[in-house]
Amino acid sequence: MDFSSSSEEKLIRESLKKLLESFSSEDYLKKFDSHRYDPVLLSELITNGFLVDQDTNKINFDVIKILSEELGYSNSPLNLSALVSDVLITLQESSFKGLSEIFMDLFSNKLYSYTSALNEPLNFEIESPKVTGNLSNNGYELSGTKILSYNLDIAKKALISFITDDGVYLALIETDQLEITSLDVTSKAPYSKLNLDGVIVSKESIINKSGEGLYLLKNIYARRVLIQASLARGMVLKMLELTAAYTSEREQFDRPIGSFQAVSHRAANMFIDHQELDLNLQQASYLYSSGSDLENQILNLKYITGNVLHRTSYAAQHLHGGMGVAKEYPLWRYCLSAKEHEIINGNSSSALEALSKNITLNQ
Amino acid sequence: MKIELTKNQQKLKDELKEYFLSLLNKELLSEMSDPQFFEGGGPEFKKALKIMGQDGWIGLSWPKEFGGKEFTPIEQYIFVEEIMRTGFPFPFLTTESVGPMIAQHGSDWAKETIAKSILKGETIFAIGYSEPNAGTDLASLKTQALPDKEGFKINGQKIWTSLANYADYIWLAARTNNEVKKHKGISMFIVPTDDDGFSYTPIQTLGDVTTNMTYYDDIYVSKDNLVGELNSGWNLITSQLNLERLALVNHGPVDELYHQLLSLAKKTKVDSTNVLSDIDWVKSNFAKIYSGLETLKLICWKQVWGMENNVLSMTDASLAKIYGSEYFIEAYRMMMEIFGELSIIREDSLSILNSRLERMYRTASILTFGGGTNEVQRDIISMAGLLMPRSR
Repeated sequence: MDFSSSSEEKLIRESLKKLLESFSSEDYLKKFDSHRYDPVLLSELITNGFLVDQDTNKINFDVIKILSEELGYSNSPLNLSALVSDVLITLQESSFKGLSEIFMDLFSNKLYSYTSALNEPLNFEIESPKVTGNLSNNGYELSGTKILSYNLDIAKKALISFITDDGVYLALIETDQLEITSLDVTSKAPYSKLNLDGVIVSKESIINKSGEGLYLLKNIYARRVLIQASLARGMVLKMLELTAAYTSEREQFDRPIGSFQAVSHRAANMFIDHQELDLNLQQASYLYSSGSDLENQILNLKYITGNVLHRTSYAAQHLHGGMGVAKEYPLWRYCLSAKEHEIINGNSSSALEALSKNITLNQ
Repeated sequence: MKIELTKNQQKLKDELKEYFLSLLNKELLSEMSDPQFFEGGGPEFKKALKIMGQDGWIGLSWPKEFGGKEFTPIEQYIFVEEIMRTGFPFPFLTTESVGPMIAQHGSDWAKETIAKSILKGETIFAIGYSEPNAGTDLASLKTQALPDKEGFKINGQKIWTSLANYADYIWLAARTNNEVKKHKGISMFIVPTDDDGFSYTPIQTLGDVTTNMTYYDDIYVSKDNLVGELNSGWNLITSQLNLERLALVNHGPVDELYHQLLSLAKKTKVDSTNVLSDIDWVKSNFAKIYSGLETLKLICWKQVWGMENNVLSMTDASLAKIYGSEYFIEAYRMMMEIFGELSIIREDSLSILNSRLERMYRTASILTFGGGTNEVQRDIISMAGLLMPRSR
């Protein structure tokens, strides 16, 4: 048993913190308040080899998680889940032939040129797509809609999922002919809607063999939850630090409000929540990297991530009083992002339901 | 990072499971279900404890030089987990807290006689800390041990002295100096319960657990009964608190119950086609119990790992104490909901675990205030973990 971080991990975290310092000042973040996507930061991260090792073309998922934590902590307007975890790692897993060209494109252009479109309206399980594919001449004719696709409006290609009589398929398709509508979401993240009615997907663009689609989607979901929990871990830590510092300084009745047990105990509960998220994230990460079965731990992590994001965000606002909601103080951005990540890719209740079905399965 | 038991730790766990199964014979199990022996003390309990001593399963945390196994904190945790799964009222405080302190800090007589006898499973201690006016603020205790001839004369009163009704000795905290700061004037004594000056009155509690008020009336003990330096008792009391708190919230017993009840729910029919675990809210309760159990296990594992690697922070023990004790209450409540009114029926074909769940729920609240009340633990977290100002 070992709960420690390796020296390599510590080094990566330190250099990331240093890099993000110049991308997370209040003035800098303000520029993205109406559209939370920072292409310069993405370019910088690619250049510094944090996304893909340029010598080996390998992605280290542990690094992506640390990066996501730090992006969450600094509230940077960038989410790597779609590009790195959904697309690149999935293509790597499925032995996609054109992967090296994609890496070359990424290294030379340093753009968010690849994304995924897997979420669907009122579908809480991305492993079970509702978009259908019916066999047509040289592929499948699709029907249905995808939502909350990150940076779809600027991406060249998107990884989509659909269900056929022969099971689930994933395809990497060109975006130029697609009907894409930008969505104005409350967190101002760059999400789009994709209408797939009548779109023909060629067999060449399908990346998985028959029968492998569900496996790939399950892995995508696991990585999404791990990244989301990592982002949440960073956000929750920052909200906790802001709250502890603010309540230690803010005085009422001639003493710091943090010296009232009603305040300090609520802050202590935030600390306990952070630990709960942290430990379950560590365990699920370990199981993922060791190739163990982790379906229940992932569902549990999603359940905990949503709960902890909600409780921390609400408690932090409450303990800050008016400052917690004022846009001149940084907490509000964390609260917006917290709600976004609590509510996408399923939610705590849907994860709990799926977990409960697994546990009580009568076999 | 490697968050699972090693092969050797898993082997130890399996070995202990097998050993305890062989120890729990029909007579012992029957005695354990008798309310008067819920806390141990019966003839079968004493017999089993001696067997454990003979088999070398007492004194796990003790240094080898004192006859112990020098188990690591993780191995100790596994031991506690496995024995707690069985429900056997193992006297942890005697064997893993008081025993090692006597072995290391006791007089020659105490080391030779008392410590060895604990290792053999022949001696039980009760803990004499709390007093009617010294609970969470333990350092304000008033029981006095005044110098008398070559030893000390003890007078005072203790409360919540569990096991005193059958213990051989009391591990007693007494004031030996009134002139210094309150926690600096406390010493630890071994007080025999067969002394004429010792008496007790039982206190029945909500959870059917009997504890005691104990009285110390002019009890003379020799200086051999003093453990550690005079006026240095506070250090002895606090040095074992982390392990004690961890034993209180070990995830083993709830994990055992969770699996028992899940398996029962999967075969308990509610109508001609459905079993209990087909009901949506029942599934949901099981998932919530599972989720908390995972977190509690990880909190405890991280704490023992922290002990083993000398990186335990002040907040870790408080976190485990709060999370575990409050989780137990919720878990037992949700487990009872699953089996509904059957949970409170005793001695009937309809009974579920003979109403054990309901009793566990009733006893669980002891943990949220006992062993350092959770409010104080939250104060510790906000001060030491979040560097917030001291609460007033």
